[in-house]
Amino acid sequence: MASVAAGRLEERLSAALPGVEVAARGRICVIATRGDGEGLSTPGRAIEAAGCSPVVVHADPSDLARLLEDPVASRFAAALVRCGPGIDRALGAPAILDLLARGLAVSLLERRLDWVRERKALFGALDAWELEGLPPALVSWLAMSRVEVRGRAARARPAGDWRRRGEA
Amino acid sequence: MIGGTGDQPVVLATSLGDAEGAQAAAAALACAGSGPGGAALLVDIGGPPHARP
Repeated sequence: MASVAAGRLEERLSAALPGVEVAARGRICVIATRGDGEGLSTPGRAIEAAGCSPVVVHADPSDLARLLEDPVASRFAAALVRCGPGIDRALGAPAILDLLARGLAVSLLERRLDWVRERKALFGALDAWELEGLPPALVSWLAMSRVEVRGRAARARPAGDWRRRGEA
Repeated sequence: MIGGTGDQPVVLATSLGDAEGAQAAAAALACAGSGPGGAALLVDIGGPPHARP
């Protein structure tokens, strides 16, 4: 089951990215790729092909360093970092500082979503009222961009606002 | 503007150490960016392959 909008995005991406498996899932589109050299070319091409549609790139920690060295990293405006409540400062601080130094607005997610919402999210079926627990500024920015894509209107929110609210 | 090279919102989601749930959180963000007027894209790097539901 997929929404009309997700189906349209799937068609567009499939046409633009031959050989890449694209799946419309609920109200989102999903592309899975490897973290090696060939696989890392996919995110950049997919972002281009997605047009104005919001894109979330999930990277396994083992692939993060390679991804950040790729030109596609310049497209990232914000980062969500899942970390345990007792974040290891020696482990986490350099990585977070690196993201901040690259100009990303960084939000930490210390508690994972509950099991039901995780499953719904992975099926693209999470409703707006179920987003509690995610960084509000990040959710608002994405939701606003959705409206802006429809209206082709204003611009995204400045990252500084997030940091001033202590979310970075 | 928030950064990056254009108006298109592009978010990186990852995890530190053994923390789990980043993939689902990324999908949740994609859901937040999706609506009747348009869908968001989730690009999953290095995760398990996705099958069409």
